[in-house]
Amino acid sequence: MYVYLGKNVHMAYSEQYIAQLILKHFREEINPFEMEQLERWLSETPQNRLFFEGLDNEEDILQLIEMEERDKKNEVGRQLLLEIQKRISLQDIPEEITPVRNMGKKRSWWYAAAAVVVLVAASAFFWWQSDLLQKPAENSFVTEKGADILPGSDRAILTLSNGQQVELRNNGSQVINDGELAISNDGGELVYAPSDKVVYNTMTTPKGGQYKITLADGSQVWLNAASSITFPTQFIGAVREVSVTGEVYFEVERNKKMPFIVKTPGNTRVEVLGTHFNVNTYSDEDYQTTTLVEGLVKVRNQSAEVELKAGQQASIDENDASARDIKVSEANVEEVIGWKNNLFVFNNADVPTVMRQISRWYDLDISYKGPVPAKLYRGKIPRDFTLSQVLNALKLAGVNFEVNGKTLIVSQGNRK
Amino acid sequence: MDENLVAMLATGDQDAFTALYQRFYRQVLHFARRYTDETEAQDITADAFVQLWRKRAEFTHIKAVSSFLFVTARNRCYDLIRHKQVKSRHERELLAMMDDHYHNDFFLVQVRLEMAKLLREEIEKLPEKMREVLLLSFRDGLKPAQIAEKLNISVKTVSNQKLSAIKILKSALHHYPLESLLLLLPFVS
Repeated sequence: MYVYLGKNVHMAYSEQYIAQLILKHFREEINPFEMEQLERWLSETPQNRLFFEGLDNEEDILQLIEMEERDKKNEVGRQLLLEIQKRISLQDIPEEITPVRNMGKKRSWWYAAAAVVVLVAASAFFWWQSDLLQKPAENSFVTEKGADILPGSDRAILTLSNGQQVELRNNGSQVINDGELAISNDGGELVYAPSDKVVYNTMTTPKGGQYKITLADGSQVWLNAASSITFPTQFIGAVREVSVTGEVYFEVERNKKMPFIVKTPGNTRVEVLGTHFNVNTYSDEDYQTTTLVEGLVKVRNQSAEVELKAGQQASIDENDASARDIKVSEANVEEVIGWKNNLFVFNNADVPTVMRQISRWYDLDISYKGPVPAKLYRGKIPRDFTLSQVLNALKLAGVNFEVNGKTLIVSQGNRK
Repeated sequence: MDENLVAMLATGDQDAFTALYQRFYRQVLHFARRYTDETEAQDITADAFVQLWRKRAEFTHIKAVSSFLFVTARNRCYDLIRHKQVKSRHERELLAMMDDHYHNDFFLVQVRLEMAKLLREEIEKLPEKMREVLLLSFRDGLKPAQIAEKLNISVKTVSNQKLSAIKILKSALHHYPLESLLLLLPFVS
């Protein structure tokens, strides 16, 4: 072995060779030449000799055998690999963006680690489908001006208590004043400190925008594209109440004495007894849903009330004005809150569902040429991808795309 | 073949990454296990490979890959020990780690693993019943009474078989008289 990190380069022994020498020595089957080799290795460092002498007690090796057998039985290797894949695919933007070698053009790190979409998912971590990655990305989805469409970013508008509107961006820190109240804006997050001032502010995100707020009680709120939240700058009274539209994810600070209530269009209320949940009230979705990640919530509209446990989802039919039922079902939490973790997560999502999400984030209108392709998508795509990168992945399922200004035209692909 | 793997890793080939994982994960895991508990050891191992993926474009040599994994894991173990300030046996190992001149730890883990592999080959050569008893004890952690029931033999037979198996293995490792062997056996009931 080469002592790569040491000062000198030592003899090139492999671990297999040394192990064999040691065993031969113990069995008294070692010849003089081999003995010399062993001695040389033993004198390389005091550690080697210590190790060798420690082997007097074979408990060490037998324990190792035991561990290896148990590992095999418990499939430790396989579980660990899955964990590694999961961590890689869920990673935030890395500090170093290393250009991938031997490629024609510079790619973003994300594409190299791409979470790509497959039509039939065998495993949850489909980005291991290496054949998909071998195809280079053709930059075919550009507008007439030749520019790829960029993904959404941290953008929002804050409406203060006097009606004044402030544009929010993620470019350095700033302080916004609502009268004497100072609000901090930094890193795509608006933070309200506790204060005496009780007025209402509203934050609105456009298509292609997203933003985060920390409310005065410490509760954290993430807004997806085309969403809004109206809230008081300080919570007083018996309840903490906010109103939302669009898609919003909450992590609410516990306070038994002051329940947290979220109002959504159509006079629905979500009462928070626990902590982390996602509310989706986009009017172009069929259902208004509340998905509970952790804790307990009660969802109530004018005619029904249900209690959700973690992992459950309450659905209210958007189109049925006299909705009497609130449906409770199991939810794929990862799919629902993927956006908050900077990913599109699809779990057998049909083309229209996928397109609605794409349209909100890339600020596009969707139009279909011919029948809507009947494909299902299962996988994860980072929200940092440009539109080209996303469409390159999606088209592999056999769907055709064409970009015309701000419109994305979707049609069925040719059968292979 | 190895250098080919590394070249492919640098281009983002996931199969190459998986192959390198299979090649080195046991070593990293067993290394970390010597310094910390199972959960941490697995976490440290996972993290080392995640870091390897992040930096995949930087490697040209297989040795650089194994060194990187080792150093990443070692640094985290080092931080852990420093924080926990565990005494006695671990202190000795801590001192060994602190000695920057001799980065043998990883190599020695590899040697250990190699010896374990060689010994397991010996286990394969054992008579079937004997091997069964040994594996039920090692791998499944069964007690002699449980093994006896499972194999439909007496408890005495279990301990005899076990003794014989271990004796054979020990003599594969060592030439020691039988009596002193018995003193060393942790598995004998």
